Amino acid sequence: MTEDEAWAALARVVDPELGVDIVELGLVYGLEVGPERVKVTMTLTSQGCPLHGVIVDGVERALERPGGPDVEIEMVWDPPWDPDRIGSSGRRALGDPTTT
Amino acid sequence: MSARGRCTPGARTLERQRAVGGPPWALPSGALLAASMAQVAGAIALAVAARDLASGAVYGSASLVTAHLYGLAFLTLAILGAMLQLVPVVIRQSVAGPWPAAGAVTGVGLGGVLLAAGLGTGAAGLIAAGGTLVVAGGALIGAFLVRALWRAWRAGTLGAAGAGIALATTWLWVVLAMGGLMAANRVEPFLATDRLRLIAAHAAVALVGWIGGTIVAVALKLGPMLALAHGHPVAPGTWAMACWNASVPPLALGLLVGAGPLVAAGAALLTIACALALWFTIGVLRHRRRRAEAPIAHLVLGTAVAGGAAVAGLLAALGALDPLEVAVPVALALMVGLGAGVTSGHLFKVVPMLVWTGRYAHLAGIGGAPKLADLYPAPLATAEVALFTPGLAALLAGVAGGVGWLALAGALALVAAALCVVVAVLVVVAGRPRPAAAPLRPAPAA
Repeated sequence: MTEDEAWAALARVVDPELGVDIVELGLVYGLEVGPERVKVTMTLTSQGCPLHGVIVDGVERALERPGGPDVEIEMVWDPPWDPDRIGSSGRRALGDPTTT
Repeated sequence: MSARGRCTPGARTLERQRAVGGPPWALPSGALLAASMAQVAGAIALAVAARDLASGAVYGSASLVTAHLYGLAFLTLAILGAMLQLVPVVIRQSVAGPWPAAGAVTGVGLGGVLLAAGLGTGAAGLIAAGGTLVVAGGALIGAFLVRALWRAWRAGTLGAAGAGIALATTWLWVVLAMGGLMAANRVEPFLATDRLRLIAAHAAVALVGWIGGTIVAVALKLGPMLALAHGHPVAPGTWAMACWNASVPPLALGLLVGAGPLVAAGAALLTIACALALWFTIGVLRHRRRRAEAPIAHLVLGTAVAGGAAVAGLLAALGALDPLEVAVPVALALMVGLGAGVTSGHLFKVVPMLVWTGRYAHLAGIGGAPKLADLYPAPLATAEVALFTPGLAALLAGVAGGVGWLALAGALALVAAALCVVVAVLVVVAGRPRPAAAPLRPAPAA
């Protein structure tokens, strides 16, 4: 799996509540792709998110390949996520009132 | 803070093992559907009682049916159903297994309906059966909550919202104890206290302590989360919750013994709490980074209405208004304006989330699932707010001003608003929205 393929796979993981993918939301802080392991460092919009398990499962499924590298997910809360990390199309989709 | 876990295919990460969820989605969804139906019944009973309430007849059978359908069969059942799903998220501790939880919420819901029917018809058997079921179910789920909250406190995951839920659970037990005594006293009188004072104190603990306290505690956590409102002022919310709960003992005790200064102190604290809660909610609105939806609209409306009720109660306690004329509009403002409104708004959000998680979570990451927004019944949510707001205003104005037809018109609008909620819940639970896109890979077994 290449890094581009991994990013494309992550972009298919949508936060179901917001309807925007986790890459556009800026939830993915880091991605390391190797032959044995794919490591994702990520966060969520808030601690105690009701859809925590759903999103983590989604990341795992998106990156899993039969016979492919192991998937490691590191969930971090520092630095805390901020809505300024959302991309412009995500902000428009959310109806962000600060988007002009 | 970080949690690290290795995630090989088919294995669970440490992080996922730590994530605590609620019972299967069908249980809270079923409770919320039943609760929304009870709201329709309560609103119909309110329409029947509206003219009497406007004419000052407050202790009729329709009024008792209204209070218990709204307070127990709708609000308490909905709050408990939502708590089964939300409390594990808020405090990161499981609450109860599916079967004990199902038994407890069934007891509260069914008992609430039976109790309301008994109070409406005067059937002692129904009152006894309904009261027993409500007290047993409520005490059971209260015990589950206390156990989970205790674990959260020990684990350091309680937080301000968890503390608020703990306080609200305490008020639930007080309400159940008072209600049990009052139901028994109705069958075989043994309490020397004036009945109206007992009702007022019971209503204060139920509406301000249990229902209002829960709403404020949950809003502290979910308001900013759902609105993506980072950077909002937090302190007003925490202080609002503290003042809100501090207002309950003086209010209830003052109403019970007829002590005006105590009632005034409680009403003053509640007024301050409402102002702080409104400050917090407006802060969330100002910092939100997405469209405002029904839950936040109802939270603003409910907090403002509760504030108005608190001010009216304060003026009555200080002698500026007639307490007997103020009591019913204040109770309706808290029960319908705050309780029913905020709970209805929340149902539009929590039911789609429950259903999506139950039906489509296994498709996350591989495609084929509809967006959660596709389940959110936006037109019904808009219609509900559009009917509820003028309906509430007309009801309160009609009852406060003694205008029967206006109170009736308001109650009928509330029936229509409640129907919107039921239809929305049914659409979400029974509907099968078309997937957003074809699955990218075959879905594993759910």
